[in-house]
Amino acid sequence: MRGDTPATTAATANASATPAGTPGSSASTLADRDNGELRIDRVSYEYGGGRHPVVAAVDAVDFRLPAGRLGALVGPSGCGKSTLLRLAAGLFEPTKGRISFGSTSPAELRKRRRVGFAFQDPALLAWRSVRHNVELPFDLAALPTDRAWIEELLAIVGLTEWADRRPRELSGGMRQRVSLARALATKPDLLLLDEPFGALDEITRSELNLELLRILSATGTTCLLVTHSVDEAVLLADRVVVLSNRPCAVRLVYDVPEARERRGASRDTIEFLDHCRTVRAALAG
Amino acid sequence: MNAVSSAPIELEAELEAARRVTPPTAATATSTARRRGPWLTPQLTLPVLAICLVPAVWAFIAETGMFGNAVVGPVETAKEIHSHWDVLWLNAKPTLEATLIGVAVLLVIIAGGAVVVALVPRVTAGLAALSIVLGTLPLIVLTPMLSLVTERGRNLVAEVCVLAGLVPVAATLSGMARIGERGREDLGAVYGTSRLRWWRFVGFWQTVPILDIGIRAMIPSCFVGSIVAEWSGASTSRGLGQVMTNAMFSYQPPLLWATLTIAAIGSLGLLALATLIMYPLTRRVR
Repeated sequence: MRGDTPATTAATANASATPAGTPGSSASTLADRDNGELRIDRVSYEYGGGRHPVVAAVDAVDFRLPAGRLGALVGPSGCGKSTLLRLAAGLFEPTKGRISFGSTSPAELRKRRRVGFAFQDPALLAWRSVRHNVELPFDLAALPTDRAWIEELLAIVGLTEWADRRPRELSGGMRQRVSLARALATKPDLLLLDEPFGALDEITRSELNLELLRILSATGTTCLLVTHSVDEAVLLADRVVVLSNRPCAVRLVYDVPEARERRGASRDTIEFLDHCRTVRAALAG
Repeated sequence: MNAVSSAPIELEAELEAARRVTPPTAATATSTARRRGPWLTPQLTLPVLAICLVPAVWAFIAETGMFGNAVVGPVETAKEIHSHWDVLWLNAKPTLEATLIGVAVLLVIIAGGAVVVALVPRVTAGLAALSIVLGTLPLIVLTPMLSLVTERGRNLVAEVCVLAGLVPVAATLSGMARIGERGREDLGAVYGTSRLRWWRFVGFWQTVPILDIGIRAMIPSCFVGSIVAEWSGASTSRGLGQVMTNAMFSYQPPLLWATLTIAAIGSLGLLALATLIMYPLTRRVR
């Protein structure tokens, strides 16, 4: 499934070294995934300066996310979660500390088109069909379109029948699925999701949570998710990072036991509620 | 690649159930709109109804006689146009020609300006300031001033027409620069998209609605500019503005109304032309 585009060529060189049994190892996975751990090493970020006051947004945040796993960032509104996500995408440079993904930096990873980003607002282009919206990253990154993968992606997100429709013809949940597919279009090593389900109703949100788990299981992509919902974080993530108020610092890094096996069937179990309670307690400080 | 086989059956079943949920209502609404056809949209029917209402209000005002014989009704005006068609057409032609030249020049300015705003979006502030400055320039004063450097006639009328249309054009380009950049810092940055590439695939299409409005606003401004230029002596002898001035000073209300009607029809015709030109683009982004 990977390595079809020029940008992925280098990454596929050592694909055979991928250990069997890891997420996504059923397909030819990336070399970078061997050691594709996302490392956030005491990262701080300040913005402003000059005529504007310097504002500290992120303060010595330190955590790791193993390859092929899903991490969730939970914290109060405006604490700097999205800034942290942009730092992980290489869109901002840390003021202090270092971010790496495997042996490479996020900026380098982004240059190689190996980062996928889904925003809270799906921001689909009204003049493009669903299929062409999913193909957009290829156009923007000046890469040849991998049509077979696009069709596969549309099937993964369950939108094959809607592929020729325009975004206005879709429901909110379907739009978010298109946005997810678009973020996965260039087969990223690192998928960053900035509250992608924040604007959706509870039913659609639950449906998309399951959808996301299924997609990530299918693609084996390392994913960092920003969410306001503790339930969502515990349900989806292998590792939940609880952040404090601005400037955000890590309050708790919580590894959710048996997260991969749990899937969507255990929201009402005592264990699940216990995990949520732990995370909520850390969030409350 | 298939869904992971280890995913529990409940998850797949739950997803299948969710997918079977009724299709979105937006799709139903769109298909209804499609059945009605592209011409029966509120965006088109409302302006057409408003235009049809104008003769009715005009006839009513003329019928009441509240302005004496200064207001000539639409029927008498139509008769006047019919009886003076040769004179009116002879004078309308240079005005239309000058306006078309002006519109063509402005369309080239828009095209060039679009490339500039795509490459240097920082010009937005400058364009906004330019549109304000141009908006404050009195065209009637500009014409005699320009006649010192340009020979009177069609070219001078076209120059004033361009100046009149520059106000909406500058405002449109300023809006395009702002709207075209929307999302580039997020989506564009993630994929390291160059400005031109962003403009080609996203930015330009985002600006189509504002471009459409800008061109529609520009055309009547151009027509008014041409007529004002002719009033203030930019044309040598012919032109709708000239006929209007003559009709006014020789107190010939039917001829004045006939000229006004020709000017309005000409403006509407140009507007229809602009709508037709923009239709493939507006239809695509709708």
